[in-house]
Amino acid sequence: MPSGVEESRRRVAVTGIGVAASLGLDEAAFSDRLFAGKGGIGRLTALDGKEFRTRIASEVDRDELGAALAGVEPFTACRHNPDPVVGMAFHAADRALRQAGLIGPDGRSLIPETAVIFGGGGGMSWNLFEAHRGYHGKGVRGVRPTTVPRCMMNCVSSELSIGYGLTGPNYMTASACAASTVAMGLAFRFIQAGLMDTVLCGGSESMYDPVTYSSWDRLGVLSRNPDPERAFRPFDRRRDGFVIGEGAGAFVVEPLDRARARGASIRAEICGYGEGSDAKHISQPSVRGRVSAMRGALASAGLEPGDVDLISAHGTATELNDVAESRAIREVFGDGVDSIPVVSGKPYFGHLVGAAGIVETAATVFCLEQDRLHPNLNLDEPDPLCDLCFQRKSGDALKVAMKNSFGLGGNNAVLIIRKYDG
Amino acid sequence: MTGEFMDKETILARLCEIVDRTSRVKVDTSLVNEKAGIDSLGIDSLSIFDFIFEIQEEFEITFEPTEFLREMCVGDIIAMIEERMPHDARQPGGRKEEEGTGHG
Repeated sequence: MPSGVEESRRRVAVTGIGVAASLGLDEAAFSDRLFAGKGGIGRLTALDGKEFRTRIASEVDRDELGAALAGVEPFTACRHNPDPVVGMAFHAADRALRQAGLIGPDGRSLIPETAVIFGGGGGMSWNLFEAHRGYHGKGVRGVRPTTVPRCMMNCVSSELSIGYGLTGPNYMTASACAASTVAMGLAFRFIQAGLMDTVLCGGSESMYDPVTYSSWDRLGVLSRNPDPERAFRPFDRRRDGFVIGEGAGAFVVEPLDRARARGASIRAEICGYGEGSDAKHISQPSVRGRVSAMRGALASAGLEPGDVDLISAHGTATELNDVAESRAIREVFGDGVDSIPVVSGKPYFGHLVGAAGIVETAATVFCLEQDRLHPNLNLDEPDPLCDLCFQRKSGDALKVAMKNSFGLGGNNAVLIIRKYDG
Repeated sequence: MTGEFMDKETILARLCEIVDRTSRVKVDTSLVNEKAGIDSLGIDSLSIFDFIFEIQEEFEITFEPTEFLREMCVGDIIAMIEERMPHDARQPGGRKEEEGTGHG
């Protein structure tokens, strides 16, 4: 059971990481490709894309995912749920829980009180599409009777809870592109405050159903670059939007002292979180809102801007985001920003929307652990309006990173991650 | 599917496929026979609705959920399916499935 508020302000450790993305389902493969500068974006194959203006995607290998899930016993109950959001979430969660040493011989969690907090932007969009297709084909009788449990917003967190026998609270955060960063932020706060002792947090997203993908296509934010590998180019002068990807990520987080006591491998610390809302416009970002979230994260960590060694940008490669994010970073960091490298993970695995924050944070942890930056893919000529530092200029070790996530709707969430030095 | 002749064995095989894709637990469908009870199929109070839905889709027939009783066996379900299937499908030599119209 949680130890209570007397242990408030506990340090928070990440002890397990799992990813599912076009870069790979295995952390080593993912990391190797990331640092080698090899992205996973290609042609859209999940849909017949003839009508779409953008036919570029970042897809998870479904055969590889199916093979990986064949050995995941807790996934059995939802093995026929056709929405890839569920399967990818189980894969990432299973890897994270195993790495944290929390899976028992029966495949279920060794710490039943674990909470589940997962983020999602589009929800169970494939299953919803299927339900609509059934209705338009045969009316009410064409709608699968289990459409509600297959489509409800908490489907993923509840199935994870059921599959692994996790009796702590489970819920989803719905804050668009910031959703899984919010999930991590809440996990951080709950553990820091002594309200929870183990949280499985993360996000899972797939939007390759015809209606949802069409919706993004119609919104005009997707890159129309004819070369998939060169399409996603945050902060570049020739950027023209993002590429929708699919994927999932999961972290196991727990009190640092407890992780040490049980001999867990500590991957990183989450040491600060700031959040807030623009309260301005549904799609146009506010510099002020972002500045506030970044400053909130630093204050939460008890750090100054000069303590940050690396900024993992939201970096969507849209005209509005990249300029607003650049202005916000410069406002928070002042001239110091000229020596703090900014990196973007999205050009490697696409914009994972509700899973973007967690997968990009995983990439950030790899940077801290390996004390190196992955290349800023496709950033050939920085936009003068994005006047930031995109290269490492100091030989100092990378110890503290800021992770930005900004969602449609004016949802701002920023994490501070610290390298764990033992 | 409509009009395709199906004997009991074919119906049983298709029912096993439906069990495999609707049950939330793994079921050894090679052990499923006409005497097997619904309870032995790993179909719970929720997945029974998917089970019935899939039968209707597969055999293009209509059931009310209330017609399914937990004490029924697979043979009873096969009988219900046969009773509702189009006449041709119950006769050897009935019209074969047209290409591209099956639910597979």
